[in-house]
Amino acid sequence: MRAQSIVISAYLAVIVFILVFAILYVLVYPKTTTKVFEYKQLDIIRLIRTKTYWSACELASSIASEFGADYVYVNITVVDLVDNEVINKTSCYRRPVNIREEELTYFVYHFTRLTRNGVMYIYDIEVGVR
Amino acid sequence: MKAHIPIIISLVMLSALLVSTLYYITSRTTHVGETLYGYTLSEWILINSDLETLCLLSLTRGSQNASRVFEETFLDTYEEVFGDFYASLNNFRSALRVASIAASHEVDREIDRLLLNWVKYKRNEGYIIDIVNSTGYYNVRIFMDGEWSVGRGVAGVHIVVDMVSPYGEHRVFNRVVEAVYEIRFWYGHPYSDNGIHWPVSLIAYIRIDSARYYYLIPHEDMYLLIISDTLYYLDLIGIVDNTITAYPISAFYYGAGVSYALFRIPYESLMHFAISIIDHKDELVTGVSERGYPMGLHLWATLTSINIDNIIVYSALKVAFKFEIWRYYSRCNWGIRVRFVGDEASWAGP
Repeated sequence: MRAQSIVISAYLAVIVFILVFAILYVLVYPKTTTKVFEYKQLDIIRLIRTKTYWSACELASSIASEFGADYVYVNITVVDLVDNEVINKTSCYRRPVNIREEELTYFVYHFTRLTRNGVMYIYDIEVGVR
Repeated sequence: MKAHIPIIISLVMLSALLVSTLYYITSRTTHVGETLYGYTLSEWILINSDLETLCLLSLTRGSQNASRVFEETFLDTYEEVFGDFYASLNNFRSALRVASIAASHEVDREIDRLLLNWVKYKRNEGYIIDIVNSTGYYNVRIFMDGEWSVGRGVAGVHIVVDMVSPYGEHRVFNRVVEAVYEIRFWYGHPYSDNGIHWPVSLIAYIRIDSARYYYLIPHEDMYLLIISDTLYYLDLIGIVDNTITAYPISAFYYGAGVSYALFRIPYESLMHFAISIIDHKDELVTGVSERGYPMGLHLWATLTSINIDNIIVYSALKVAFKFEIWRYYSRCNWGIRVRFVGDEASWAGP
């Protein structure tokens, strides 16, 4: 009778272990040990297209408020494509004092916009989020 | 001893659990998610829009220079062979061709220059760009559509740009932007309300790739510059050397880009106009009509242009000035029939 109870309890113990292993491997570990990297969606192009003309600081503050960015650097170069010369170059920083640089993840964007009068706006934008 | 077996088994399993747990928490599986319809797609959309703007800009600037060159070259090249309709028509076609070639260079140069400037800045951003094709053209030609005389002017640019983005994505942009101005003429008459009347249909549009954007031509922008040596002999109002400019007295928009306009070339009176032909019949008569009367057949080479949102395009029109005269001997009077027709072989109209 005693031997039988030992076999039954050992059998139950094995079942409990199997269940614990299954739960850990199938449901817990895959989630706790996987890191997913995804490109953050900062649709800055959409934001830029909402207005025809931006000043660098105006754009920087719009990016900060729209996307909750902690750090923003905007550089706008205005080029006359017809004469192939740079007309204007402005830049603007929004850098927090209480956040260290290494805490931020940076996203860098470069794109251009051409208008019918031959003026090309070149946007160089850096966005840092925690 | 037997009692120890479950303890040993449980210890072994516990150890296995601990080891695997340690293994899992010290290693990390990395999964990278790539969003195809995110930033990069918007960027290509922006580039596509930039290229469209670039084509329109090149066409605007190029067509303005090209139109000036076209007009100058045409006026320098075209020579009417007075009294010989077909020789004049040949010269007219040839002058249009020569002027179109000269004008094409202007549009071509502009698109090449602006595209290279744009490419230079995009290359600075890290794009690999190959300009497969960059062509600008300007072409004015005349042809017949049944009895309709048709003139068609096209100014356009075509670019094929192969691009690889800094992220490794590849796109080929094939863009065509054209401005088209077409005019059609069948026949017109001199009328008693003091002018020769030409009903003309006009179509103007910009084609971006396969989409047409029709342009409603403002009434005040319509004109026809008529060039003919016959004007030295005719009693018309507003002749400058061998040219006269006709303006519409009425115009309406029919739809789908087609406007109809009634142009008038004014004279003092129908009688004066008829007499001016009869008085100069020795110079103006070129042969004999099918009815056996003396007749004249002369080319009125016609130019016109349109400004569509600062894109200027010329078009041309072949008009035959035909008349036949006869004398009523019983009354010592002259009879005259005058037509302006698109098809020189016909006496179109009532």
